[in-house]
Amino acid sequence: MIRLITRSLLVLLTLAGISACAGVKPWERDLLAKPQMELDSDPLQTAFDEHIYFSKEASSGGRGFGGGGCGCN
Amino acid sequence: MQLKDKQLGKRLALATTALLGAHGQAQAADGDWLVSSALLYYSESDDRVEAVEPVLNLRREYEDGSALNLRVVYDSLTGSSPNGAAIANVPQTFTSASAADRLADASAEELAEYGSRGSYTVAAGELPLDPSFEDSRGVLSAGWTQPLSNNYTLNVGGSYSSEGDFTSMSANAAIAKDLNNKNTTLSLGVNLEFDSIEPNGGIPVALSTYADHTTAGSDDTKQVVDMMFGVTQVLNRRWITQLNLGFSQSSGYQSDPYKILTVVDNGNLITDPNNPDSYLYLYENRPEDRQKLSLYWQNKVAIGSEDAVDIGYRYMTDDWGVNSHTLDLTYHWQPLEHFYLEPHLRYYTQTAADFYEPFLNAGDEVDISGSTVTALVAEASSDPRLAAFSANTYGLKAGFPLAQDEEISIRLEYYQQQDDNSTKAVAAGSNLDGMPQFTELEASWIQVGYTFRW
Repeated sequence: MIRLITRSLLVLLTLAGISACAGVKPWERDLLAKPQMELDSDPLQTAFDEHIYFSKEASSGGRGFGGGGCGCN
Repeated sequence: MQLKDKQLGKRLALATTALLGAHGQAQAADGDWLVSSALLYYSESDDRVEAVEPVLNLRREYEDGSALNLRVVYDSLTGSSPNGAAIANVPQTFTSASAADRLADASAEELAEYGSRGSYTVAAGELPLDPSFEDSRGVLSAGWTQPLSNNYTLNVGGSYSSEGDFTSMSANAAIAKDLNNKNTTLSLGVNLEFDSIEPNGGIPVALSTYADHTTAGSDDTKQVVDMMFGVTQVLNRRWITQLNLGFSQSSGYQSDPYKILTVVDNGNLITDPNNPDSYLYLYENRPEDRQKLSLYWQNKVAIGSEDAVDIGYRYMTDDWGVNSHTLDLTYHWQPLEHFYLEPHLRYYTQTAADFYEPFLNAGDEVDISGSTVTALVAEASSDPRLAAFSANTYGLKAGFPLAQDEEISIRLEYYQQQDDNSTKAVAAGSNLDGMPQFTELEASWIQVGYTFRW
């Protein structure tokens, strides 16, 4: 698990590193500003699905803080 | 009167912004509540769980960029839930401790109507389902977003959730930093959760016999600490990507107090040595600690001027032996200004927890000496959620954006599991021979939503 954490952090740092040369100017955000380009374009839908999967599968979270708030028996 | 005042207020605001030469449309929406409402109907095949879940979300954004978010969720559940016992080729009768406890104070009328729920018989070859599953859940949550200096943003929030036998409280905080002309965002968040469980009939002693139902107190608790580190990056005019690394540590009572395991002798059901009316079943037991690590990668890519692809992948691993991969794909197809369709595909696969057992064997896993039953395994659960399986979800959503921040949507999702477990050996011709050891769940849900400014 420690190795996985180290590797994941390396990937994240690399991404942060290459980010310095990526990106757009503010006036190039026409497409990114559309609601369908939001990372979570329908938070209620995301919450419903995460709750369903949390109660039927052994995994949760990832996108945000996972699961919780449910006995789900 | 209130409505009139509100409209007058809006007109005044518009007049003011016109005088100041500001952009009227943008200012008119300022200070209003963004109301998102949705209703979910969830249903599993074979009369299993059915749920109805309305949710209301209120969001208010302020001029300085701060925002308040409030959410209320109500969840009503009915139906049958697997009790954990194995499918056998003979009928099995269970006396539900939870239902018996609820019926203890029931009136004669209630007993006539619900009395059969205290004890139920499952036909040969059928999955043992507890029919007394009925619960409702209420959730209240609130969050506050506060922009700080130097492109930092602070998010704090809390949530309270309550159902018949379970209460959960959580608090979270996250700090985000925008870099590189807001093309990069780094974020770090923490969430603390406190759960308490008070099962109907009390907390069963781990791996004790079902018929005895010996309890170890009436309630127990669990604490969860989640941490998350994320990077969001705009790669170009069409592509935004996000990578999250999450770590979760939970400790406390993690078993399901209603779930049991069948004990068999060479594949045959055994009569409980202390209760001749019942076969032998043991209450499950899970480890008290669990550490999870997840890696989540999401991409949004704009196609043409209105379409978008959403591709997400998650890897999760934990110290219970569960490893999972999730792939999620959505296409936003918008042929008209006021209409879009979103087909959705999801693939999920997980390995089984180390202590997942579809049933326990007398001898090497459970010792039966006279009337004394002793589990030889420290942990065991037959909960299908901890088994090895994969699952596919197919969905379709239709959305009708009526105006900016006003939209009606309807969505249908279909979910199907596939068994990936290796079969646990049973003797030929025994009660469990040829019986499925995992039941593939099939579920579908429909969601309608309406978002508007108020």
